[in-house]
Amino acid sequence: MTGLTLRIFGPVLIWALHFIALYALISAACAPRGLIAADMVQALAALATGLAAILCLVLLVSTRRAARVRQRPHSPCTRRHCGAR
Amino acid sequence: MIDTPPRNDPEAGIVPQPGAERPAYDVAPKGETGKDFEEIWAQPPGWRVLSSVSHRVVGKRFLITGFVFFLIAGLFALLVRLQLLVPENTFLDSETYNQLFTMHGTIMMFLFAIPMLEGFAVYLIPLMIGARDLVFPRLGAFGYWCYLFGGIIVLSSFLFDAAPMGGWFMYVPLSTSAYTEGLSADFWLIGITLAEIASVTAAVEIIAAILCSRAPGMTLGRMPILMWYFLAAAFMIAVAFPPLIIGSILLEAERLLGLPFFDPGLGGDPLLWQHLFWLFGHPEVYIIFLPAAGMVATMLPVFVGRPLFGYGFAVAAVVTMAFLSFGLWAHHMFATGLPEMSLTLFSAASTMVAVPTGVQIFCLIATLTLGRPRLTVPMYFILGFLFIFVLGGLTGVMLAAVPFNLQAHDSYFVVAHLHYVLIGGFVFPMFGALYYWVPHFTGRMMSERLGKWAFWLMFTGFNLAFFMMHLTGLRGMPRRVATYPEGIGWDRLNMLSTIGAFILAAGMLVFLVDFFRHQRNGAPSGRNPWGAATMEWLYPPPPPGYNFRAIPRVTSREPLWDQPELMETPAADIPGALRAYPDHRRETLGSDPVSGEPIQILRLPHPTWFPMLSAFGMALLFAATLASVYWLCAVGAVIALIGITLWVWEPSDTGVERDIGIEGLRLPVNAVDRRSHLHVGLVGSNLILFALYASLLFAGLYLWNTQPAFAEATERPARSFALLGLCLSVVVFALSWMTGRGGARATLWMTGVVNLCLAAALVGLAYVLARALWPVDPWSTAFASVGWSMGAYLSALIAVALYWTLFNALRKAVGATRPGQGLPDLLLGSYGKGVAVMAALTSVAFLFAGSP
Repeated sequence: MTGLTLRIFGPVLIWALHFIALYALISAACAPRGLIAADMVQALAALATGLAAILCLVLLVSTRRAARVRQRPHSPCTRRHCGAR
Repeated sequence: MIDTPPRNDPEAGIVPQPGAERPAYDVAPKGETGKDFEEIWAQPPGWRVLSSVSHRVVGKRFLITGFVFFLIAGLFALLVRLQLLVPENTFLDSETYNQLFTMHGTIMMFLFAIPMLEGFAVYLIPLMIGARDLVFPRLGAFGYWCYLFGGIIVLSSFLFDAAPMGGWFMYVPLSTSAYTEGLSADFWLIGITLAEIASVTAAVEIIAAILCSRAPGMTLGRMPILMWYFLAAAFMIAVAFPPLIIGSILLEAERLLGLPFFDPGLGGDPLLWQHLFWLFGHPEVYIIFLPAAGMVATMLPVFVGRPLFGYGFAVAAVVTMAFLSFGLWAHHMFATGLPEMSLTLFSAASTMVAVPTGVQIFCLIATLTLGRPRLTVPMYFILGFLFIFVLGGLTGVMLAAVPFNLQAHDSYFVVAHLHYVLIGGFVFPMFGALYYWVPHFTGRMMSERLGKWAFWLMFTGFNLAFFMMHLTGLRGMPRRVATYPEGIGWDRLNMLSTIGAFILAAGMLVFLVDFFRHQRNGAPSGRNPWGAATMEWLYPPPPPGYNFRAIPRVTSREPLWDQPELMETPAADIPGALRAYPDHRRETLGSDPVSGEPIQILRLPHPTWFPMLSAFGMALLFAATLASVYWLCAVGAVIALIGITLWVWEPSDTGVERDIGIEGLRLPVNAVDRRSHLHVGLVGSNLILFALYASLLFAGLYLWNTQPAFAEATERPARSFALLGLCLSVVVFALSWMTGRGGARATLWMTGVVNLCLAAALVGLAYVLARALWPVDPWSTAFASVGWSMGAYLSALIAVALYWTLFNALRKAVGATRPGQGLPDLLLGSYGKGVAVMAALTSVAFLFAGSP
């Protein structure tokens, strides 16, 4: 069930984490406490965005692989067979 | 911990269980043995119908009460429009005007839109998924009474000449004691918080019902599309309402106790209120829109005669929208001076939400093109929805652009946009849904002719009223002004808007006339009058109280179209599960959340007064707080506690196992299983509790970040006690884990001892957290106030855990719980773990917060 949940919610979860990360970075830089500099925010935001993109790709590939593995034992079908379905 | 034997048949997924030969548990609590099936499910006669907890009764109560509030708020809107009919009008003084537009928005958002969607959900979910009732009927009834009492408190403010007038958003500092004296803001804060209890209870109810009580074979992918919309909205309610609840409590604490959460002089920040409010307020718009769009996606295929195009895409869009909607809150705050980078982030997210919205609209339009639509009254309203909502969405994209937003901010353009979105996205689909499902409520059809009159009046009136407001706004008229000077280009537009508002109201009046007329003169609807595909139309309406005499297996997403045996057989004779009722109890099937296969028999409660009693106690507690009569608060709390104790003190049904009448399946009653409705409901409740906690944490972090000088000046909690709190949190977690694990396996005395150990650990935890906070003066800074609020919140959670622990131990001691009946401990274990995690986080925060 956890796997299914991750497949359904994976991409939007990644988006949510990415959004939270960016919001936290901006808040850290722009509030009076000024925890980090603006340049650092840009670098970290770029890193977070790259990481999120890679995670999305990994999720996409693993989901497709999992779907193929699930299909194999039950449908050893030819292309023609599948087309008929 | 799963007591249900695993299924190992790859084809059917079902095998007779190993326990099939075992005799039924002969101590199964019996119900009303003298009654037959119909009588068991019958509603109590006369005034005792108020004790009914049936989803159909409670759902209709929500709908009727919500509609009454809608009419009241609509009347306020007409008065507001009358005031704006001509320039320099003196029809209303500015104070009354402020009260009317505040109450209009408040009632529409909190007492009409959300309760109406709850009403539809409560009424329709069991019927559409093949269940006999919701899984927590008493919770639904409790929620309704809280909503009603909360609404009465808010409206009663007019009687005391203290109606709120700070806008439906209650911005600070306007709503603080310094600028709003008297009780008007308190009426809003206390009444709305009480009414919100209904929303969060409905969220738990909807999540558990949809995931855990579907008909055999109804996988997630075979659920009616509306269930996905309700599910998404319920999860959104669970996460979105807590920030408002916390914000309201903090503001009330500032007004009542003088705690400086929003006082900049003591390290508070008025913008904190806006963040908390809009963290709720923006998802709220989607919470309102999504179920309405789901109703459209349910009705449209019926009138086109084809299944919904792109079911999977629509589901993906709904899930995406549910997530994205939480990333848009600050677009209501573009003019508050947020950093530019924040503006960019929220502007991008606001634009992005147009994508899943567009996907849904395309699915609907594509469905329209699949067949030749029948132009019935619901179909008129669906087309009206498409037209109006798309226009509202377009202006939404305009407002997502920061430069335009800054120009149009607080102008009538925004008023036009929000009404296009909310009336187009909710009110039009709602009227379509009423025309569609009213025959299900009453067994009679409403008039097509009057319905079309109602539609055209509403459509014309709406567009006349609100399209003009775009222009009024672009000509610079600000919102929330009681009057305006003549001759600056606003006169004619305002007059047209007022005329449009009255035409819109005339359309609603025609609907009301039709509604009352059809109950006596409407043609009988017969079975499945619209030719629908979903299960609620299986019986000739109104269906019997039990919904399904036997619960059929579902093999399609459109069962009434694809399973001819369902419509060719008299509904009561359709074969299915749970036809027999040996225990004379109300029962339905419990399903696996993903596969929809049956895993247990769910026992459902009979009519009871306890939900109403508990809600009355809560209302007394809230109303007495408003009146500052604190002894009465204690009386209310005691009444609520007594009501809840009597509610949950009932014979445990776990341990019974019996044949359900299909495919040789023997299933446990109220299984001790993580997939059971109670555990799923508890997970939903924990989600709400964590969202409440996260809101407090957000408040603390926000003030720490934006008011560093005050945060540093705040005295640090006692570190030794904070460290001890961390250790005790680990102990509480471990004991909760043991409680959950041992519930169904260990002997009663062993679990009883674990219960008592857990109680002792909880008392210790509460003590050390209180000692940790003791050096901190809650009135010294806003940061200190938030620390105390976290402590108070944890104390409340610990008190509930303590009560629950002792309750479970007591039941074992008096023999109310038998060996193997571990469900209460399983639930307590999961709750305790959640409390322990929050206590650990708080202890860590106390270790590092404040000045050394």
